[in-house]
Amino acid sequence: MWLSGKCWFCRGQQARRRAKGGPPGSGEEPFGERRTLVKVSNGKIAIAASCVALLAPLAAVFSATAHAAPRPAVILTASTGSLPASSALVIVQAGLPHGAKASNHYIPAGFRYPAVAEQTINSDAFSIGVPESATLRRAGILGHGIAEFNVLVFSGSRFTSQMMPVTLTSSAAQGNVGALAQAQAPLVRMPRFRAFSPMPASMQRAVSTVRRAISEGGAIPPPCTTSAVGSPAEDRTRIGEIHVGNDHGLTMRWKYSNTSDTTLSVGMSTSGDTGPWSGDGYYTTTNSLGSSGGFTATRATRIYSDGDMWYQRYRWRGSGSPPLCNYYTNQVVSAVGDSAEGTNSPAPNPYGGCSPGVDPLGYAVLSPMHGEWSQDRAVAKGYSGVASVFGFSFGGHTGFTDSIHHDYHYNNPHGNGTDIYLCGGDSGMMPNSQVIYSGSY
Amino acid sequence: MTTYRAVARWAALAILSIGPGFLAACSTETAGPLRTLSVGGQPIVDGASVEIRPGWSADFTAFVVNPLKSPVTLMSASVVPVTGAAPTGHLLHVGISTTDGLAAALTGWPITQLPTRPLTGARIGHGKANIIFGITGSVNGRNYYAAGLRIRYRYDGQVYAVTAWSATVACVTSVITMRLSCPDVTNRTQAKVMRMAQG
Repeated sequence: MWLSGKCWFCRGQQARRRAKGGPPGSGEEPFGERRTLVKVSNGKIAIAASCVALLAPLAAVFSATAHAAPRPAVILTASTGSLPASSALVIVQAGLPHGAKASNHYIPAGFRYPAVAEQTINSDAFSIGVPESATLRRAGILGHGIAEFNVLVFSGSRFTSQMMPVTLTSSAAQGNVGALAQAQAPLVRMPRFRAFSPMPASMQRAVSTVRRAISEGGAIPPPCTTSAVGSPAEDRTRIGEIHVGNDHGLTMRWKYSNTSDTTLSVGMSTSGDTGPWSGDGYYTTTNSLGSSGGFTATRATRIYSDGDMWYQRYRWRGSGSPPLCNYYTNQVVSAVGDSAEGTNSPAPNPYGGCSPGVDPLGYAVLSPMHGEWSQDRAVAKGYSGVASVFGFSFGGHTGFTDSIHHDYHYNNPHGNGTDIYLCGGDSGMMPNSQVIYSGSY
Repeated sequence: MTTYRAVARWAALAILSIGPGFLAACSTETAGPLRTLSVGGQPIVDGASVEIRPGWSADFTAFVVNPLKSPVTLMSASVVPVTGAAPTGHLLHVGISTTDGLAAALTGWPITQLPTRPLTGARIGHGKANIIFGITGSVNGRNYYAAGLRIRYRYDGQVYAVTAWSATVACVTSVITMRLSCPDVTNRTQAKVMRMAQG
């Protein structure tokens, strides 16, 4: 089905064509697009023919189950809860950021959200395919391989929505298991939508217009646009936790580097730019400065690790009249990439210690003879209440990268130091636990 | 005649240049079913170092993952040199942890807190296996490196080899003081081995 329509062999040709014609993403052809021999000219026919020859056996294998329509780039599945009416209109939009409000940090002045898919549903559980397109590719490029979708569901006089970042490329996954799965398989299961809320009158009129246009001629719904409200706010945001036992000579160096993505919840309000806010999905941002940060914690330390992030409120409107979107969001837009000791303390080791057999997630033993162990790719733990900005309490996680290190160093060669124990916490077997405990800390 | 000589010379050159690579490719064992420990397709490379006296064992851990339900049989292990860092540590000991424990950075063998069984002939089943190994060096003041272990194993009648990455340094010193004799060596080695693991 999909493979039979693709010619991976031809991608070099595509790349060369892009190099001649403009930057990646500027062309009209999507990645991995279906191509025909008619479009191939001169000597390229030979390469195309070789592609066909190479793929012929695969095509034969897949032909029995082939579908006529091309495979969507992304399939979003979700549940909205009971529909207020007998049917609902689902519109999927892809975010295209523009402008920059601050010189050092990429804080978009606004976004344009063109529709990339729409569908009428008759049950609360639905699945909608987003086809490959120049818009989707552009969204992925602007998002460093991550497309920011906004999914709107209109039913009767009520609506719900959810923002959903989807990783489009394996390189953008950076070790995140879930993100890699998204990049490798197009099926993305969205969290449950928030409860339907009443639509403002102007929004109801806009939806009626869109519905009518779609039924009459399959018109594409008009895009929504957002513009920043007020100034962005920088706030310390929880990104991890540090546990260093009470052993003389033991230190732990926390390092947080420049490829760490951060995914935090989005606040949404139909009332105004001060809330009240309700959760409206998630937004992923990358490190804005390409910098790294970290600090060294000494013995008997149990603290959270914080990083500075920028938050911005946006006013949602639309190009239609009346506009399809009419509300506000409050979201993270930029991670500075620094890291410092947080103000509060995480819970201590729930097992009371790290001796063999105590912690089901495993243990590690470290020598006092300048023993050093740098755990790579500590999978970041997700937290609720990582930051509170503009009256909304954000939740989410950072990391899932190769750029977060827990570097323990034990230096007590002439004291009464004996080997010490570290062990895993939250989830994941050592050495890949989300949290590392040190003794009873 | 000249043409014939030219053709012969080119043919000989081609054979000489392609031959060794071809032979190497044929003799290189494929990874087979065992996998390097990874998250999201990216290898996990821990970095570790410890000070030892000349000839002592510096103990660390490397990991392999068996995705199969059936076991594989381990045959041997050898040290993988770190590209751009020498000398390479001499492998003294290797065993499979019988617990869920690992040697972050230890000295001496056997390790009382970490019971092991011999690697040679060990059958490892589904999941992660912690391979605990000890390397050493003899010259005072030198650092001895390893990028991990090359593990040869047998599965379904075939012999394969997989690399279990672990960026490790044995810092050899005859006088162990409070001052670290190999500062910052762990991070640099870990970065090098990470690049090796990512190909």
